Amino acid sequence: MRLFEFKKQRTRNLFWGLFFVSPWIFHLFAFLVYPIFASLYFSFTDFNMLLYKGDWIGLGNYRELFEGDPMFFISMRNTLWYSFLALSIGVTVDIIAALLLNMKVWGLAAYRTILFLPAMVPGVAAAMTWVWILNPKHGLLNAMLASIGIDGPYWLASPRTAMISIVMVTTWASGQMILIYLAGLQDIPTHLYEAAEIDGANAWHRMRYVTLPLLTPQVLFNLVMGSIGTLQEFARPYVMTGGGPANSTYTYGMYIFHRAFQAMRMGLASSAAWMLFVVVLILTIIILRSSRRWVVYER
Amino acid sequence: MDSRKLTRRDLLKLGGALTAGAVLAACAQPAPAPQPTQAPAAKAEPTKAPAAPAPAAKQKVELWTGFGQGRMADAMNGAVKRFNDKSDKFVVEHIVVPWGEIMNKVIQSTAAKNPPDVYRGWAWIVGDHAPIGGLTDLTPFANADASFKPDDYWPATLEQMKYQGKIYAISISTMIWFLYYNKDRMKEKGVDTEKTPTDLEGWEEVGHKLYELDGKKVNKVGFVPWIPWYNLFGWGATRGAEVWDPNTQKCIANDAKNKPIFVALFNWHKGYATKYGYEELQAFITTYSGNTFGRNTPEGAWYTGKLGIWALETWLYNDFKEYGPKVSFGVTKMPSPKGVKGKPGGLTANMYLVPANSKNPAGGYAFGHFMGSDPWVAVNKCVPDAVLPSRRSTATQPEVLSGLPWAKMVIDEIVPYVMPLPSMPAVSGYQGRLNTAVTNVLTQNADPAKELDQAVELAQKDVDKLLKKS
Repeated sequence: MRLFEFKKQRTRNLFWGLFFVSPWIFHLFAFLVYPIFASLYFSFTDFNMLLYKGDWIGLGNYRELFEGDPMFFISMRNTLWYSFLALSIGVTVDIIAALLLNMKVWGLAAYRTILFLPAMVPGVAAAMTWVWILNPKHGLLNAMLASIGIDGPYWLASPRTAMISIVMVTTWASGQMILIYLAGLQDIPTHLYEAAEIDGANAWHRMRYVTLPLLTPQVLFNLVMGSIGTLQEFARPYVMTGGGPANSTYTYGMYIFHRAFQAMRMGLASSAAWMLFVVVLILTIIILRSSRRWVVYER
Repeated sequence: MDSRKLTRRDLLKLGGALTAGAVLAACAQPAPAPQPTQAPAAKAEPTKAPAAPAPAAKQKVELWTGFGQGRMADAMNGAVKRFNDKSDKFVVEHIVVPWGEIMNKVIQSTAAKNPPDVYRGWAWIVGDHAPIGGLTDLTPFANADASFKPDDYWPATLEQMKYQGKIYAISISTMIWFLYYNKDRMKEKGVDTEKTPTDLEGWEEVGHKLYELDGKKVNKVGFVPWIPWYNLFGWGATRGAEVWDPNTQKCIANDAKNKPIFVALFNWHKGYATKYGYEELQAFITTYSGNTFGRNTPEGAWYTGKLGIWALETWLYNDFKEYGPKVSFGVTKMPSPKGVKGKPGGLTANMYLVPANSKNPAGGYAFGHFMGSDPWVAVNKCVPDAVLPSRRSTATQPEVLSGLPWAKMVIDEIVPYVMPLPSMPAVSGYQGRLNTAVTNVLTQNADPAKELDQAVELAQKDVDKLLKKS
């Protein structure tokens, strides 16, 4: 009898538990699971956005991506280049910033706040502001460079410097990454530094053989998250350059957007999105597999 | 324990039940909406009204435009009020949607089967949306409407209202391109503003004189073919080029006749990039190009003399009165190169379009037709907008001719000869492909002939895909 009561109570609890998480379950299925499978299905159809229907065309969209559209390759090349630049420059700059913020100096809290603030500025607003700062003729940055006798570059106006300008803005807003490195730095046991000092290690040795190896788990995390984020980049180049000049900042996210909402070819856009998923998956697997060789976990 | 006391569990149950009730109510089938007015059968008798007998209450017509502020908004609201006063069948509700968002919202709402009944758009939408079923065929409404007079529209405009012989849009106004020149800047450089050139080379010579450089940096532009944007169809037309053959349904920018013209056009663009530097020109454009080079601000590049000569549609004309009243300027038709019998550029049109899935297509058509035909609209909407009414009868009213001082010249010398934007599938994609081609020529030193071939091949693929579906 007591066992029956217990089971009844458990069933009731389960019901109420499910009831209370049902909004989240609904959200999960309506806005995540369904769109994922719908886009997979659309990618095999010539889905018409306006009429919300499409015919099955098999691998036609995937074939078209590789055979027909030069913008596909331009956007893919730009995105990989952007991802490489943003991650390599970002990791380096962020680690240096974290190391500086880990020093015991006066006004540390203020410095930390200043470096984290850009991460809190809404992306589009920040991008719009940077468009003005980087204006080649009247921009703040070139005005400052001119005051010290430097003829500033054209930044977003030149195909040669537009992408690096966007990377610069991306790095400026990477306060969250810095925070993760900072947490990692503060997690390194002090006794390791003490032992290294006893063994005669100088500051560089301590950095090279203690700090950097023990920071690799954070580097791995930021690398994986960063590669996913940068390969999906859309808003910043869309706002700052619209993909120009001369398509030099035309990213894969913009390619998907234009195919879906301007050419109204949702099927082709869905297949492009799935291609991106495959690229991200492969890249993530490569990073995770390679991490066995270079990530050091403290035991 | 008091059995009447409301426990926390009871309260949660009650809350849950209420929430579930609310969700169910929200998901329930809405009350049946009034039946949309059916389109009349094609070729109905012209005297019969297209719809069923008018109900006592006026039917609502949802209109979307981007006219949210300034003189154009005033004119739009005035037109809506006039329509509502005159119509005993329909009442228009005007919803302002920013121009930059209107197309995305129309697409989304059409897909969701809840679009506006009519919206203000442009000629290219006919070519892009009609082949994929995104627009309502207005032919039955037009056929049933005795006041719809196709012969009264400018032939080039009427062509743009149609796709494969069916009417998909009603045009309010027609736009041609002018070459605008700043007389103040020309006088500064000692150019005679009364004896202006008649050919492209002459205007280019003036343009070069108007440049002001600081080392390599461009401080003031004389003329650049791609300011404010590429207009390859239009500039191609000035050299006698054609881009579309409606009989064969082929993109012909690279056929035997047109290829040399477009290659020359690409090289002409490249000449400016070589002379002044693509990056230097791009720096100028990046700095000043916002909102069509500041057309709605007195600090705009054109009003401050930073641009000497540029080609743009007529609608810029009235901005002068508002933002640059002191600027002395002139306009002329788009020039052709010396010895070339070209056309005075391209022509496009402002349209009222009824999307597919519209709940009240008859109302949408009625409003579009009113906007295209009512003389009051021509005087009070087209004139302030500085665009030519699309019907001869309205464009030639004395008030229109006096309000648009250039109208007579446009009617006599430009409209009959221009190249209309082709009413073809994926027309904006075609322009985009050519723009990419010329960009590659300018920035990557790409071969113009190869770029042209590739652009046309891709455009044709887009067209073929759509034609199979139509």
